[in-house]
Amino acid sequence: MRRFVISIIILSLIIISAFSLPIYFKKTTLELTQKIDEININIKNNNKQEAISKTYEFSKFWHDKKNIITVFVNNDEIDHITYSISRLVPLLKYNNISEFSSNLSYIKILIISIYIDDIPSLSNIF
Amino acid sequence: MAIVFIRTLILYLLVLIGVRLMGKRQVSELQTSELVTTILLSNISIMPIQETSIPLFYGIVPLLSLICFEVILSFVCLKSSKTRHLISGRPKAVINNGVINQKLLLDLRLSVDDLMAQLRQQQIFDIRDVELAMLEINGTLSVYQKFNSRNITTQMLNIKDTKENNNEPQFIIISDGTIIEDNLNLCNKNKNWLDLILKSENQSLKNILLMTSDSKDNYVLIPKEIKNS
Repeated sequence: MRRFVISIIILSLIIISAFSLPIYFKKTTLELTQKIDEININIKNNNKQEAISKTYEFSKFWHDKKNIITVFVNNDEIDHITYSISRLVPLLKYNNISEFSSNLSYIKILIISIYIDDIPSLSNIF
Repeated sequence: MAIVFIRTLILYLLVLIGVRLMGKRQVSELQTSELVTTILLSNISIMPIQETSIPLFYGIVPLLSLICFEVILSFVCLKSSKTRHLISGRPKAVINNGVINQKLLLDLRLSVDDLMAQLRQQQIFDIRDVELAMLEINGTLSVYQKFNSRNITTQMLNIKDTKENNNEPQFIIISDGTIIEDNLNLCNKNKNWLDLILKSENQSLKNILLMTSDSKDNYVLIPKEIKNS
């Protein structure tokens, strides 16, 4: 009976965390994409200094969230995003705006895919 | 994580149904659900070990889930005979009143050679000696022999149980120089008794390989051939 109760508790914890994790990912993805959009607006407005500052802010925010996300998501995807983010500031400093923008769009897609890939949908399960 | 959990649940049910469909011959010794868990656990635990890019949680969650499924299922099976029969099946009488149930053998995909091999393992070489043979849920065969083929028992010879002829079971008291206190209690002995025996045998505890005893002071003492210094 004791083992049965422990099993029920463990399973309940797994189920709760399994279904609450996509909520956390959704929130984080939203915050990250908002920061990307802010950078894009500054780029469009030719506000380079503000764009650099927002990119630093975005990079710091990603590094804070990365430690938690790494526990639950395939590490290859995380490394990919981290590598791409590390290229952003140098690209902006050397005025390679087109490469910077494409890199930023690529990062946005990767971040959104983390959330989408974790939603318990039929296509993801099968 | 929800995907891992759902996938684990789906795989568990699939392998469970698969092994159940494979039948008793494949199971042998382990219960169906236990076999399923064993197969899945061994494979799942390898995955995060081999692939370091996979988070450890991808291994821990299915492992914990499987163990919990197994515990919950065994508890449900214990409480519900319907579930028990659904998951583990029922024992089947492959030989009844000395007659082989050929249809059942076909259903179980158990060949006559397999049946005879299982009978031989129970020291039965003539199928005419078998009154009833049940294929248990763990795949083993339990045999009830015909009266004339059964071993003679004290009951048949009408020998009464007396203190003289009743040999009690022997418990391991010392194993490789270590006292097994639970067994010492089982045969109603204590350490003082053990010290007296060792003293009378001129032996020290660490030099005993094996000592067994019953509650009637009948003991066997085997010292080590290579003594500890």
